[in-house]
Amino acid sequence: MVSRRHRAKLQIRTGGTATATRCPLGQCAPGSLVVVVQLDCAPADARRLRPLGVFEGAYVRVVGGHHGTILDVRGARLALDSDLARTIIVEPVSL
Amino acid sequence: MTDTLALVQDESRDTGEQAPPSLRVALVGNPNSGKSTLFNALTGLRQRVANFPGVTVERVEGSYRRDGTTVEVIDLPGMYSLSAESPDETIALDVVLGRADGVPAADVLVVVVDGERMERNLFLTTQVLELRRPTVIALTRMDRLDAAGVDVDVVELIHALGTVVVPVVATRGEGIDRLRHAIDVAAELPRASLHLVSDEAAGADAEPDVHDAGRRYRWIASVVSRVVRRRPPVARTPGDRVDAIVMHRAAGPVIFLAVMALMFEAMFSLGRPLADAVQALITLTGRGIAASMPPGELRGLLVDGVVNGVGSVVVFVPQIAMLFLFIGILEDTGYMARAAFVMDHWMRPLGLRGKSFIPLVSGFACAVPAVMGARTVQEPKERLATILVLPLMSCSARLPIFTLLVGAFVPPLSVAGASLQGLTLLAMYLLGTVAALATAALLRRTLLRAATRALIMELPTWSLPSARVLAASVWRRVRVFLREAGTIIFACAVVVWALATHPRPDPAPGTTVTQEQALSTSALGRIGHVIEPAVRPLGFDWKIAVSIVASFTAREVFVSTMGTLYGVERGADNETNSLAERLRAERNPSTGAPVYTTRVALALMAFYVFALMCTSTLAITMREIGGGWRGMRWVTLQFTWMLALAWVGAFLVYRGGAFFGTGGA
Repeated sequence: MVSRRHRAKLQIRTGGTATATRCPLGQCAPGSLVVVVQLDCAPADARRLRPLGVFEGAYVRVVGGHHGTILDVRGARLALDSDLARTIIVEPVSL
Repeated sequence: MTDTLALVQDESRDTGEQAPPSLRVALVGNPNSGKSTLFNALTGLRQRVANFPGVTVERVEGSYRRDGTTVEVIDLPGMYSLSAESPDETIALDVVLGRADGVPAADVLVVVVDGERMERNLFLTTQVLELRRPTVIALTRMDRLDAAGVDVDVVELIHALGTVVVPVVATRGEGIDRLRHAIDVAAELPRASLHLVSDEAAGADAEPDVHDAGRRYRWIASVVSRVVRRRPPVARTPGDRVDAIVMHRAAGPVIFLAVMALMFEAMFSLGRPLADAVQALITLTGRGIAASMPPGELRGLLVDGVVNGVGSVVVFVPQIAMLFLFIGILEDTGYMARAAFVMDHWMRPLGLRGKSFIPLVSGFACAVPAVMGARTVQEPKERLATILVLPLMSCSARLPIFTLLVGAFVPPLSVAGASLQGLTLLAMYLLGTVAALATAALLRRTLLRAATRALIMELPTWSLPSARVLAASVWRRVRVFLREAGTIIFACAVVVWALATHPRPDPAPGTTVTQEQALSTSALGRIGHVIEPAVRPLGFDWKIAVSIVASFTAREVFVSTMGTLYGVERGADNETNSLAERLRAERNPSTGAPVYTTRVALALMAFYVFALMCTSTLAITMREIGGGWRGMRWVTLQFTWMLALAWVGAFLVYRGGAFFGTGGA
């Protein structure tokens, strides 16, 4: 899902550290805590996501979801469709 | 029908009589932050309250008196930030910035912060505070925080934000007086310049900085960590468990269909006895008037025109109230937002998203507020497609027609545990829904092609709806329906009665005129005869044609016209039977065969499923599309398309019915 160009961009942003753990939000198992790395969706959608608490560097928890993803964002529940969840690149955080 | 419009008109009348307001207050906040409940508590004015984010779309105002001055309160559409992405957010932003047309700038902004979702709500709060306008923060749902064992240090929050914070429990009216006092004080205080988070200009027109959200949320997190003492976070709340079931890949859609089926079944089986009681009351009224007056024009007008005409619509109030109640419960519990998310997956191939689903379901109640509700759909072409197909969703105005015909012509049999009548009603609703979705798919592939926007939807906390709020919202809608019955339908009933009784036929000497002949030679009868050839292929006679013509103003008029027509025909001296009985007894004068067979009734229902017969909907659609030639073109296309569907649909049902042999009965 993550293109080579995209991965290169990620490495530059984060100083070339591990990329293996990075994945689209849509692939994360329910219950996992993740940090948002990049919003690779349409700029207009990114502008809607950030005020809702889904911004680069934000910690969110995947609660569940079929045909999409349900997130716990600072106590609020946010539902995203599966296409959008595919374009949000996150990194799982181990507690 | 013109629900929200009527509310606005009500208020303009109220405020017109009062002195000019000395203070204007705007309520700002996230969708579903308890803003509308707080608005009710502040002003005492009843207004629709729902859990679905973004339902508060229309401009809603109210007022209260305090120390001899009037305080005007405007309840703004919910928004998540000061960057407007949809029409309703744009309206809210314009009012906040004091640049909205026709809305004076607010003296005080009241930011409504949902205590349960404080961090997210404080995002908008920081942006509003940076506008440096007099601002008061209302911290709502304090009772739920208490119940959850969450402690909020309000004094510390006041220090951090640099403005007044008033904790309130809007549902119980707690803290409202303190809030009113804080509003008075805020209006008088000079405002210090304030920049909470970033040093960049907080101009709303500037392109939002990508890093702004992160900075803001980090600042908010530091404030919240000082202010809130909460119990250890629960990984999976009971609400999440419920979500896992109702939003399940397979179970979700099944649950949704079951909820809808239950709703329509209950509407028919529980609403029927209530409707019978109302019918009995109307019959008594008609008899009372008939007995106390001498026969003549006036008695004919009152009994046949007014009581029968308006009465045959009023009789459906119980069922309409139940429909509004069910939709209210679905919204207020928080299920509607989940259903929208579940349905999103299935609606995507049609070119619509889950957000269009809410206005479409609201269309079951009434297309007028539903068309307004479509403002929450962000993508313009998607929104237009939603608005154009909305009137195909069977609104409550079709219910009188459906219940009349189903009650009269569908046998009360039981099929697999469900009543055949309830199933027929459900089939009519499904027919309209399928037509709406198919039309939308067609539009999105032809005239209204565009990429769809992503679905980002907040799921409100599951909650038990308040009986008081529900009752108020049902009553407000029923009142609008009754007012319509009292004005438009009353006027139509009188006009139809007059056209049906005049001109009177000239009997040849020595003969008497039958009621049938009298009606046939009347102005209305002549119109019906002219139209008849066009509806003959659908199995309709000239009397049905007359009722269809009369109902072009509003669908409810169909039933009242039938009531008037058949009341006229039996004559005022006859005992007032129910309209359903009269329809069943109706015979073709030349052949003696019943006029209304089951398949005629079904064809007639199919006709009304599709036909756009509602001037209010046409008017509001025109306004929402933007008026002018563009609006006119779309509305004309919409009306023609639906009329064509209606004719073809009724034709197929009638001919198909003959094929399957249901014509005999």
